[in-house]
Amino acid sequence: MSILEVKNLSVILGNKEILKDISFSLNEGEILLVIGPNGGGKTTLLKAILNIIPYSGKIYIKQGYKLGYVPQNLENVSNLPICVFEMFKFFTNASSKKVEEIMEFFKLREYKDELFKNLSGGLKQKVLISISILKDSKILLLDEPTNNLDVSAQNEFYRLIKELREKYGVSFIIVSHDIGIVNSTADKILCLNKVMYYHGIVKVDEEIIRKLYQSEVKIILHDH
Amino acid sequence: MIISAIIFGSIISLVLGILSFFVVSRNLEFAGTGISHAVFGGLAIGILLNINPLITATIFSIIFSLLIVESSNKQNENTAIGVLYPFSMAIGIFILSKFSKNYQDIWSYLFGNIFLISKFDFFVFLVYSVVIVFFILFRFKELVLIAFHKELAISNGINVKLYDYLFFIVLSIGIILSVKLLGVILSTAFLVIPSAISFRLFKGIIKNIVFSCLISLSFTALGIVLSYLFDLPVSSTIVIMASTLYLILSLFQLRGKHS
Repeated sequence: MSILEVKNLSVILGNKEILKDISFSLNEGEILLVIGPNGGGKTTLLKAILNIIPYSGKIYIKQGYKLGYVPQNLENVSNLPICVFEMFKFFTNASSKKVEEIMEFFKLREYKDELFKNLSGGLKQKVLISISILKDSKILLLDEPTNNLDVSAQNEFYRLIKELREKYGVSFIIVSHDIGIVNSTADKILCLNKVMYYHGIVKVDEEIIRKLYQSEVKIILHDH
Repeated sequence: MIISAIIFGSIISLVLGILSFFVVSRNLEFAGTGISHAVFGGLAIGILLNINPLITATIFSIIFSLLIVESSNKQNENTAIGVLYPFSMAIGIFILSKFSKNYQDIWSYLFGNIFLISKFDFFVFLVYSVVIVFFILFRFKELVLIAFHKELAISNGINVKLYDYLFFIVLSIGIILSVKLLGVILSTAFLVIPSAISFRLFKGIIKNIVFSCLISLSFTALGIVLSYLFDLPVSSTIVIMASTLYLILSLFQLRGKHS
């Protein structure tokens, strides 16, 4: 059953057409991987869905399904001297039992008195995902979450994503360059470079990728 | 006189301590300087038109701060502020040197004079302080989330632009408060130094707000007392003491990192 539907979405920023006529849908419990070259509009797509930037077309989100967002580049996110536990306290209304539970899940307890800005990229992400979960977000939009992670941390990250889906019934739209994880993690993919090259169940062949990235690529798919 | 100066200075410094938390968190130091210079143009126009300068300064600084928000989505934000603030400052200097016979006026606006407060000033400042504290208290979560990450705030349904307008208006009237204590030239010191010191020492937003207030309160009270006892200029005494502490802390922490 579809919980998010995008119909004929176009985004023009300044005089530049960033996205043109994008249509796709996300079903409950699905993990949708958005791939495509840099500057192809992946982040813009997330921002349009989140209503951060103006767009034309229709975005339909099923009632009661809140969006959560983890932006890209968390390195210099803020100078605010906020501790992890304060973020749970001020950014959510969750009970302390729920906060304990999610801190256990992400193994965040030892960092709760640390400043957010001093955490590693991977930990910052876990904190922001925790906050989305505590706010009862049912659709999480993650922008290049594995960029600064090494391979083992990437594997760990996608394992946690699948666990979150089971435990909290969350669906995901993940912008990523990790074409390698498509088979093992994603239910659907969206190939994006201003226009949509492919949307559907996982079936990336080299022809699609070649068109999308406009270069010769060899796909080596591997399971985790 | 000293008692009323200390009471008045304490109220102002508490308000500035809270504001300084948001200014340093959001890296708005430069915008603060810009608004303080706009205040000077506004004060001068008040003197020229024979209106209470506090009122014209308020109007002037609010207009200026709204312009900052309006241009904040464009890349040339700092350039715009960089041109507008000397412009407003120049208008102030021009008017005051051409039309004001009373150099004491210019001097007291540029460098502050906490010992010269009229009843009207006191009333206006009390109202301003209450407005600032209430706004921040009642909209604390939203303001913190915006200071944390603007896009995250928007995606949480917060009207960031509206909040920015309101925040900058509040910041403007905060700067007007500080002009009486520190003068236009040094007014931004207390929008920066209290939290700059506190951020180096403490973790957590609540601790930092409390200690920003305590730091600015202590320096203000100490500065007023010292300048009363030894006949020193208030604003520079306060700012020299506070900046010295900041510099010592920075050096100390720098050495700590290298050893």
